[in-house]
Amino acid sequence: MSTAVSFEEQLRPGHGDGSLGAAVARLRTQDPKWLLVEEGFTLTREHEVESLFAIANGHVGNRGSLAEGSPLSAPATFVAGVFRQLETPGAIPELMVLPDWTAVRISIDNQPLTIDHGEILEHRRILDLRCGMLWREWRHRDPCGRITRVTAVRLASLSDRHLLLHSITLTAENYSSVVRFESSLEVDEGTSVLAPDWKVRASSGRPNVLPLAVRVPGRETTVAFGVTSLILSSTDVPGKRVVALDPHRITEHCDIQLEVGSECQLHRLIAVFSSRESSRPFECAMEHLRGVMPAGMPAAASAHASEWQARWRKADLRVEGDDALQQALRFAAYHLIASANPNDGHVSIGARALTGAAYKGHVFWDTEIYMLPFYIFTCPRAARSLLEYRYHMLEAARNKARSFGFRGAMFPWESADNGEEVTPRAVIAPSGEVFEILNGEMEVHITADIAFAFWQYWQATADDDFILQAGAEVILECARFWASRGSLEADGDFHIRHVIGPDEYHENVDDNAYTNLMAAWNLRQAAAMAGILEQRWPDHWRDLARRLELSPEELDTWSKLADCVFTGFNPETRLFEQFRGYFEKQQINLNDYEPRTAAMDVVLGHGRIQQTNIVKQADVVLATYLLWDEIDPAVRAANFHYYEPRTGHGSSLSPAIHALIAARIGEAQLAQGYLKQASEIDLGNNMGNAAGGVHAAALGGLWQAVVFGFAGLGTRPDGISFAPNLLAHWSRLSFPLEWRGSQLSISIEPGAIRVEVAGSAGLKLQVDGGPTIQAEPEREYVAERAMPGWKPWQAIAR
Amino acid sequence: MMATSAKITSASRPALQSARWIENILLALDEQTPCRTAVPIACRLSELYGATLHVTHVGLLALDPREIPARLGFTAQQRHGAVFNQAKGDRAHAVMQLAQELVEPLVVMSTHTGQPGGKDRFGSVTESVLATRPARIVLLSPDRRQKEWKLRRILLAHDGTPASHAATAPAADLAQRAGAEVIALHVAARGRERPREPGSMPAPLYIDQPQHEWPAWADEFMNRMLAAGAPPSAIEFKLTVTSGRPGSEISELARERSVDLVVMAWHGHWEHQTCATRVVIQTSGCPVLLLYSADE
Repeated sequence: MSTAVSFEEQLRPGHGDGSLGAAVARLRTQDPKWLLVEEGFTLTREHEVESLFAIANGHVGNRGSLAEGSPLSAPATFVAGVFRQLETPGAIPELMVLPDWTAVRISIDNQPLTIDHGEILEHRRILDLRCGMLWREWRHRDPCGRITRVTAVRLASLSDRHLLLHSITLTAENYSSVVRFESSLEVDEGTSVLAPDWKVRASSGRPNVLPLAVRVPGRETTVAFGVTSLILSSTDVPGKRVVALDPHRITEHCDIQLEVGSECQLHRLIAVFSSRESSRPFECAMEHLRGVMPAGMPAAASAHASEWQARWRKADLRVEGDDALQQALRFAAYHLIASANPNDGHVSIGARALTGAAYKGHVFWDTEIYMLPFYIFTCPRAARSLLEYRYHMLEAARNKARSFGFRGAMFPWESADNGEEVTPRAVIAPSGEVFEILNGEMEVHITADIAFAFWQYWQATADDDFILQAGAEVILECARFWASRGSLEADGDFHIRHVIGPDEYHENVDDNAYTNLMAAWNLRQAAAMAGILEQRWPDHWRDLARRLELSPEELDTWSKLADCVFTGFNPETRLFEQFRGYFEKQQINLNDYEPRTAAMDVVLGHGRIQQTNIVKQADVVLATYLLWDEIDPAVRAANFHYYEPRTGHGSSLSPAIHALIAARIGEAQLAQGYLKQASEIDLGNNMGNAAGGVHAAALGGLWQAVVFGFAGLGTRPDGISFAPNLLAHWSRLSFPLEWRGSQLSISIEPGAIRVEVAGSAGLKLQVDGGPTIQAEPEREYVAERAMPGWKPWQAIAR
Repeated sequence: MMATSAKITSASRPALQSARWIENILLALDEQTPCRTAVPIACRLSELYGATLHVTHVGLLALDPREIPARLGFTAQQRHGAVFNQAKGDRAHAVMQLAQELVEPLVVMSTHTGQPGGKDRFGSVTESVLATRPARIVLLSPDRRQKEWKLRRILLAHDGTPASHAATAPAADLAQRAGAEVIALHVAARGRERPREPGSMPAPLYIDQPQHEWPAWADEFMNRMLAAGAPPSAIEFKLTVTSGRPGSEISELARERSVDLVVMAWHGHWEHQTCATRVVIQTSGCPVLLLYSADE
């Protein structure tokens, strides 16, 4: 049963000088290097555009859909951590698509204004990367010849993560008519939740804040929206506003009489709270809006833009001499900033972040290995919250290990809101083949990846508090898993069998080199960390060891096992065999298959590719990157040169890592090619695969490729090092970096490296294989290139 | 996989104006037996569309139009409602001239109409007609002979480019008229660059996780095909993907699944021996409906 309540009020003529809209417009960035622009309208690209132009703040994400819709619009709003679980057999948790708060239909004399009826005179969407705002400019001649100009902006506030803003300005260029804005926010009838005071609110004379909530299927979660709107018109004729409320829908329409050349504005503020943050999400949403309304939209937008600019000051990676790459890097950083919430340690970033429903919002190793370094070095608090998510899921990881007969923590290959394994068990490909999905059981390297990420965070931040509270436990439990997952066999080696490595073209293999190398690292580092804890925080260590029932013998076993892990390394060839039997696989020359339009597993088929030596993505090569300082330079180069021509790059994660390593070992041409490929994964307009959301890990990989590859950044216990490999057409590469509380500004030119140090602590600066200096806070240093090598670092007076 | 949306509905697609789709079938025939393989196809298409069948004789010897039905072997039933005429002068020119004069025509002809061409060439009239890039043409190999033709299964070949959407609605419309099923085939192509047209959606170059990527890709492929191709909403497409050389893959599937008609967009190329269009026409074993779509 629905109870509809409607009321009308006469709108007073507003301040049609556009003051409110103009206040927001003043924030808009003019520099084209900060703008991603989609000119015109290509229907078939719409889903991609919606993903690329998504706005988000780590809590709420919204696709860049047209407000009025099109034949191919897929608007979606997501709240991080809000997963639904349907009751259908085989259903797995999926990030829930929430009510679309951006839907606004415009009618002129009862004729809907839509992009596919009439003539588009101008249309562009502009993502202002610097301010985190999505603009739309649309000028349209409808079938009756009326020309309407629409300018719209929306944002998900970075300064107030519960707040969303949507503003539309309409100008009647050549007609006088009644213009109607109709907005609605609705939920399925079965999932609506009534506000506690809904009846009172609905019957009030003028409900200026409208409530709506949805109950998440399969979860005890409620998401509540509060909506308030403001209409301004430049005409003297009063308008009319009608609101209809029922338990599952808010519909609001406003009729305004416009004269030729006059304009009207619709401004909407939306607050979103879920029962994850508050036991009273309705009240929170309502109260939040009431708190925001007095200062209004300009203040909210201004605070949001300021927050974005503050984030950019710590994250803007600049490449001078390559505009396309510059845009791709800013696009990457924009989405990475928009994906994380430093204030919520119970959510992580899904494969497509908050930009699309593909991958169901599931969290993979992508976050720890590909995205996390960006946060560690630009916003450590966000990195910490991402790691907190894993810590909060530790018990589920322990349960998974137990269920497989192992000890410690076995993290899920795919994770949602409760840390359980949520990898689908099978998929039907369009070829009709049914593939059993073994990753949840066999792609166990994620456990070492997570341990590695905790360690990497600790090394770069010296956040002892976090490692004591959470990180140590995770690293130790991961090591314990490895000790039970493999076995010391008769040959004296520790083998880890029946796994899938990053090269997912080869399933159920023994001794995947990446897995084993990372497992060995985990075992060794856990034992070493136990020693550090015992020495520096003996009381804490005693408590932890007692709680985890860790004995000195067990720790000693880990060290010994680490030394026995079979790595498939051949000292003569300097190669790691990717897994047992890899070298015997059918040799395929990938060049014979070029050009091709699809991934190699599509070209050859799922079964056939397993019989070949084609590698899906960086596997051994990735291990050489992560364990760089532990692997001899000649070994790194030999493995790159061996595996690179055998890699099909069937994963979006692959090109960036290849660019990174190629840059580090001086393969400039390869590095440039892979960097370009990595930068086009989402932005290439003939790829199509961004339709379900951006590739968040590839974006993180792109950042890493430039910072760790082309700048050659290395981290050491006492400081950082550089081994620059700038491309020939780059005149400068510069970026900010946070390291152990110091804020660094780094600028690399072909002839010099400059580092500005701010903060309270110093650090050691080093050029790889060259001079070292102990840098002091509030100083600037430069190392100039000599031929060959580098001159000593010099302090520059500031 | 893509977010469900109230904005994607069949009602929001532009309705296909079926009645205006094909109003005239133009069957070009000479007196050679191989050409006559086109007769049952043209007659059936004429029935399905409710279109007038125009039979134009393009043989070397001019015939009295009154003699044409008998000379070309039309049964009494096939003659019913048909218009017969004799092409004069340049035969191909005459066919296209008539096509231009007719409202919403569909040309139907055998690949071997006119004088035999050289090795791997079509007949002279066929080649000349193709050179004019007709908007719609059904071609068929004479190997089919004059078997009865039923339209039960249509294969829509789609390379994922926006240009290919031109074939979607005609395939679906015909399926609706005939009660046929439609298989949409996408071939992940070897030997081809990834299409550059914005909005192209070939098989994925990156399959990070197949358990997610394939359902998402298939949804997106179909979404684009339906939104841009605007087929009648009642028709369901069964999507299938193979890999290899597009021409031979399309033909192989057509034969495997006993397809009665292949429908594909066509960019006006057929001359090269390995051209997918030519390969499909020659080896699919069924008629091929080509919808011209200019290169982007």
